[in-house]
Amino acid sequence: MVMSSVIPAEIARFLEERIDSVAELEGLLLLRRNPEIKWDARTLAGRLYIAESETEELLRRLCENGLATVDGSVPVRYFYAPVSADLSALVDRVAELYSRHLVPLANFIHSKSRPRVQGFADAFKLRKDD
Amino acid sequence: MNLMLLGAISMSCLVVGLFFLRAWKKTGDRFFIFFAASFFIEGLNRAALGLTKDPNEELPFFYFVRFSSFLLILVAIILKNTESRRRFRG
Amino acid sequence: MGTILYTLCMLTAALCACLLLRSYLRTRYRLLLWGGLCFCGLTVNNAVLVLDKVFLPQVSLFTPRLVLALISMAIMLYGVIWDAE
Repeated sequence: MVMSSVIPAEIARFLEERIDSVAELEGLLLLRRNPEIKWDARTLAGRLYIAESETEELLRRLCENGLATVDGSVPVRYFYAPVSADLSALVDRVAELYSRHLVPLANFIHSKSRPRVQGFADAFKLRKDD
Repeated sequence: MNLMLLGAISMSCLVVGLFFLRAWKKTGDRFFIFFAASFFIEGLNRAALGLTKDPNEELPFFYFVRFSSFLLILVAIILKNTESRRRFRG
Repeated sequence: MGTILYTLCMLTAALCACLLLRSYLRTRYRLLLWGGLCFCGLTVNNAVLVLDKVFLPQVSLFTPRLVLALISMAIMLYGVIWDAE
């Protein structure tokens, strides 16, 4: 896994346990930045530049991880709702860190979901910039 | 001595092939299927050599099988270098 | 025919060795080192096979070739078990 000295252990653990992709992190931070807005999957997908189905999955995972919740409407709308004050404070720290160190955080998330052995297959790419 | 060596080589090839199979499962990259098949075939090739009364690698069977195992590797490399970037969505 | 095919095997193994070792120097991912060394061994293995059959028909290098192949595979086996992740 790509470790970085700029990522505190707590935040690394948070990312490892609750965030599966950069899109998910950006989605979470977008929800947090606009707590008064209740997002539906299609709108959020537009803001994140990913497919609506992926966004639905992403939002569902955020709810499962205690970071967001739904209101009772149809179609379902989501909003930022960390289950505890500690979690809320942690996400605040993540947001602040992400604004300053986007690349190391993104790399960390990418390496976590990418099996190391993929590097073996990548070695056979003849063009180094691939 | 030769039989023991052939057996050991065969077994190592099969186990390494299994590793590549697992790598395919983990990554979804079909590159690893080709490597797995390559090592499986070579493992079986070595076993066949060991089971032959007078092992002779100049027999067409053995060199065709060995070549096909390396051909699989070549195919894997070619495919790896011609695949589009569609796998990554950023 | 066999000579041609074994030579092609040797060249393929050499290509694999180069790619793996080049990538190892860049990324320091240890599995690439072991894989590269394994394919180096297999390159030499196929080269000696051609030598054995074409240039040295009176001698049999069968056992040394097998030892070399086994060492190569043992290196790869070590790599996939210990250094895959």
